[in-house]
Amino acid sequence: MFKNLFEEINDLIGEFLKKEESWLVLLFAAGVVTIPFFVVENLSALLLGFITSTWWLWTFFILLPIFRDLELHVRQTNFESKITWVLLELHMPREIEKSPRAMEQTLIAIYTLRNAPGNWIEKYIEGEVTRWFSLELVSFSGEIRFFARTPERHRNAVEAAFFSYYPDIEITEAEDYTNQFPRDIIEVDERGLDIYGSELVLTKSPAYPIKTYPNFEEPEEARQVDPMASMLEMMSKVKKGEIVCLQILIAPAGSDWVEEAKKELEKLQTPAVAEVGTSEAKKLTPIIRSPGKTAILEAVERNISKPAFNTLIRVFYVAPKEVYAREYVDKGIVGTFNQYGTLNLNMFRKNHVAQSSIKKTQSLLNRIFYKTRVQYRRNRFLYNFRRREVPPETMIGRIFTSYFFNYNFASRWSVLNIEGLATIFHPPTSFVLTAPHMKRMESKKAGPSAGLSIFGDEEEIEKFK
Amino acid sequence: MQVFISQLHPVYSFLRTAFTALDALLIVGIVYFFFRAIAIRPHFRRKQSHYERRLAVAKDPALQEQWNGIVKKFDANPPQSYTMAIIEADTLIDNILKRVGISGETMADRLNQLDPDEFSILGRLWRVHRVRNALVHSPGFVVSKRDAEEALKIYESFLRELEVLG
Repeated sequence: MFKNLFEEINDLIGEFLKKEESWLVLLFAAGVVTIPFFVVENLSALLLGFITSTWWLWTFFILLPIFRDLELHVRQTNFESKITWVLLELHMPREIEKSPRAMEQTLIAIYTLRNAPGNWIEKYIEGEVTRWFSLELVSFSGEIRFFARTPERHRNAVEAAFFSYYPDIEITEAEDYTNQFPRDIIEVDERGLDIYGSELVLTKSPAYPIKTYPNFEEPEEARQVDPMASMLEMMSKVKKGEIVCLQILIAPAGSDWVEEAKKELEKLQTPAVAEVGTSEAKKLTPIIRSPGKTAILEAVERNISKPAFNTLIRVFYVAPKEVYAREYVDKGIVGTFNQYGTLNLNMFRKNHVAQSSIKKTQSLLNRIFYKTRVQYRRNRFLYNFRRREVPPETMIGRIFTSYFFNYNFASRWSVLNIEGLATIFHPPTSFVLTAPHMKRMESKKAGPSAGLSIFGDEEEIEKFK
Repeated sequence: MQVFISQLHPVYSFLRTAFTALDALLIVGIVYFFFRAIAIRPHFRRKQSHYERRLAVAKDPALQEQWNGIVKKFDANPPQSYTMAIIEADTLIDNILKRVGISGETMADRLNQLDPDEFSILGRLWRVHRVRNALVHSPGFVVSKRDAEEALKIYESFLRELEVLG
């Protein structure tokens, strides 16, 4: 992040100094600043006097934001730790005819559970944050299972959201599988394991969508594909003892990102211009937009028309040292996300600073305290993954969760709308016949006949749930 | 101008007092939340280096007591107590090496992994360790009081190098 910032500033200054007029501007500005020192006597003393007589005002405005963010960070962390969670396992039926469109509807239903601080008491005293959910896909030695983690208070709503569009799915409460993972890297070593993990982020502004499921669907059945097939296929190939997890944290997003995206949209909407006419009578006329640009414009407009989630995708791999094959996850599983990318719109990439390893050969700088930094990174990734941790909201929060050898500035949300999210996570359609190791339900469900007389109390019905 | 400032003075001093008080409050608040934020930050256990682990093991007061026990029993019942003292001292050091996390099947394997530059006594320790092996494995092998005392001294100086003894 800082590297980019410095590069940008460097570029800006470089560009600025190249121009002749900028030197004039600089000289003029220097004159304007220094002349008063010559004209008015004791100006520096006056300035000093001004500062000494009003320091209390400046200190106040410097301390206030620090205090506010620090307080917010403490309260928010408190709020987060008080949320009680339930891990639900989604048992997939043998065959699902539904397209990811059904998942989109499910996600809308989840989106409506959004909470956000409404006033300053809720924000600064209670530290309310948007409660997040987690959609998870885990392969235990090749057996693939689907999970969804939700705050306990939303459990019924989330179950209903899935049931209403996927009536054949069975949902049970599951014990958190991350409990069997090592707690930190010391335990990783003691148990003879090795880990790898990375976060995925969007390369461009969230205004640009990824390639979504309508692009994979065709009316003709032979041409239909399910993009999740390659992921499931990869995951089912892991060896005994290996565990590969995909964790998608989602928190319903507000409308801030739409404002940002609209600026991007405006840029796209302004037509390119060309000079026409003779040299005396120059005229600027807009050029007709190329079909490709029109397509981008359409895609962006369509993207921001749907509700979106702040999304954080984590891929995690833990395996005994004998079978540990990092490339398989690093390149293979992460690589399956490439199919959602298009060069003109958006694509996923690894968040290199938030992953559990450092590329030693990339630059000399990476060798500084290499071992210590890698230890910290692996520890942090394990910590974040097990707790389904979301990045802190405030800069102060990021600073306070950082360590001298490991900074917590890298982990960040990407905004994905429900269409994109439904594309990367949905109950696999019937086109994914190849995943034989997926844990499935063998029976088909049917509703009871209508008008069945039901007597009894709530508890008695509870038994049949 | 002077008049204007003098008229403004009460307002100025009021503002100054108010804001200074607010500043002080903010500083107190920042200090309070600073410590709360430190307390809730994620805690990562790091792998310790051999040296750090050695220091952690060396702090254990039980080791020193064990050593004192060995020294105390040295003269209790010669010559068997000499043998016992050497064997016990050897076991004590082997246990320390195990706790530090040096791997190996036998104590010889563990000693092999130590750096002779770090422990100057290592060569002599090897000799004493061989004496101990002879005591255990070959029947009829006895040590004189002088040899036993010297052996114990070598164990002691190794413990000093391990920083178990002060």
